[in-house]
Amino acid sequence: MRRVLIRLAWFLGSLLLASFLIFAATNALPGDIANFLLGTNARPEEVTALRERLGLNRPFLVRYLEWLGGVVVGDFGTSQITGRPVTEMILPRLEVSAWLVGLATIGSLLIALPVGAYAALRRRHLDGVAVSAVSQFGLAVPSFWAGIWLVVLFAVQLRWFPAGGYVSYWDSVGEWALHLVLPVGALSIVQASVISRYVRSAVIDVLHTDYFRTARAIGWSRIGALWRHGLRNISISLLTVIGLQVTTLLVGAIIIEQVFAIPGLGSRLLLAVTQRDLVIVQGIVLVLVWAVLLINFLVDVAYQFLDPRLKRAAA
Amino acid sequence: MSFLEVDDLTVRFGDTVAVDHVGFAVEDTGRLGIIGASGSGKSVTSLAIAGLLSETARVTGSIRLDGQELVGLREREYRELRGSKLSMIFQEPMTALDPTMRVGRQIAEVIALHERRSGKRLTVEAELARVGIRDPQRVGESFPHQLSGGQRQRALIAMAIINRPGLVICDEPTTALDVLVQKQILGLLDEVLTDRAALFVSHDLAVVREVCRHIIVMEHGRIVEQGDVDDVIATPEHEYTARLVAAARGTL
Repeated sequence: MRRVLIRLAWFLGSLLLASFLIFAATNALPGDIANFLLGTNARPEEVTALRERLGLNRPFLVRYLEWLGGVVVGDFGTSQITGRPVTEMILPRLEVSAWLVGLATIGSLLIALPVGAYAALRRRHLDGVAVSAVSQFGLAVPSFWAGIWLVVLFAVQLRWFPAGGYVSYWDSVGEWALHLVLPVGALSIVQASVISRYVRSAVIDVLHTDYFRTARAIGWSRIGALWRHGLRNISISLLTVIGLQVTTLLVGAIIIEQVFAIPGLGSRLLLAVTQRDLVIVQGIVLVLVWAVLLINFLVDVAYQFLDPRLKRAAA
Repeated sequence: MSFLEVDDLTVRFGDTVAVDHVGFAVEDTGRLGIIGASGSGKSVTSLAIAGLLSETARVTGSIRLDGQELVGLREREYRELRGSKLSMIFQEPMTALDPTMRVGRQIAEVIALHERRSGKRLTVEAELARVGIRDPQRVGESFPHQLSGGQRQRALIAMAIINRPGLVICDEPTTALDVLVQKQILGLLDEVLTDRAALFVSHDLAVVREVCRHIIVMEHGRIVEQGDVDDVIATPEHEYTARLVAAARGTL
């Protein structure tokens, strides 16, 4: 338990540090919102006046603490461009992105576990080597490229799934699922090629352990022994990779949202960047960074439950 | 007819011959010690009998267990035999158990895997008590890292004998244990192996002499000497055996 509390303290500390760095970085950017709102022909006095009105000329630390105080209670400020609260604009998009990343994580595991295990078990045979080679190839494919090909094949040619767009889960579960198949598939395939390589080497490690040999000696088949005694041991090392890959997945999701015209955080972020709507940029970047930190914190905690040797040390 | 009959057994890994035309027999309550240095082919021989060699190994010759030919046996049928008709005890009790699973569940698994055939419902705790574990309930609920080396090896012995196999193959079962525990485990093995055939693989003459009367000595994949363990120690015929005896002189 103590170990978990220390992890929690580190986690909260890194949330705070991240918020400061993000605020500092967006404020250091040249050309603030006042410049943008008034355009290039504005007179300096007008810009100064607007800055005054928006509170931009107050000390940096005061503005940071004011923003942070809002964020803590769920108020990310108000967009100067749209005049609407940032929280209200981000929240539905956060849900969309969370579905995309969450389902892609599950999807990539569903592909990577059997593929990696097959490549490991058949590593001395032609088919196992072929599986490894194909998944290596997947590493070189950007997710948007995979997305475009999925659209060409399954949306344009076969017309099984819509080529883009999004329907909320709360409006129609069926439509929601149909619209997510291709983008989630594109993200999963690319992600799975990375993860399956880790699965392959983790499975090969397990095949050489004494407990795997014991499992075989009591009557398990190779696959049975792997499922029963390998999976949990593999998941311990795999968890680290999944935690690290979530960042890649978030970046991949931003691009995939563009390909499939999905109203997620990524597309909103890109729009805000082009409009110089720094309050929204700040908010979305903060949400993304905090999400990565949260997932890695959860990975750390999950270790304690998966590895009984750690659980005892923590007790 | 003996319970285990090995004839002309040869194991190749590519061009390397690991076991070279080896033959021996063990009666249904007999014991045979296999002595040799590492690389002599003694472990490969025992793994070949259990059918647990890697897929790169090429096995020829004959291994008959209770009249059934094992060389070339289909994996599905081999699997049925392992853990029920023949079982193994390995060297490293620390790593031979799954670190993420409670010991009791690992033992219960051996029963469950062969339930249909054996038809017996034995409790895990009774089995742990049988191998001399004093608090079987606690040990059953523990993870491997929470037990001593001796307790772990006892748990592995329980797993090996739980389905009353006709043949138990012990591959260096005491090598990783300290001397006092080694004595206890050898005593336990002597007891639980009385009514079945056993192969006892070790590099240590003194250990093998504790449990076996008959031994074979292997070098470079061949049997170089065999006979009664005391005769072999008293009058080693082969030069390699003589060196082995001389090296073990202090412990004999």
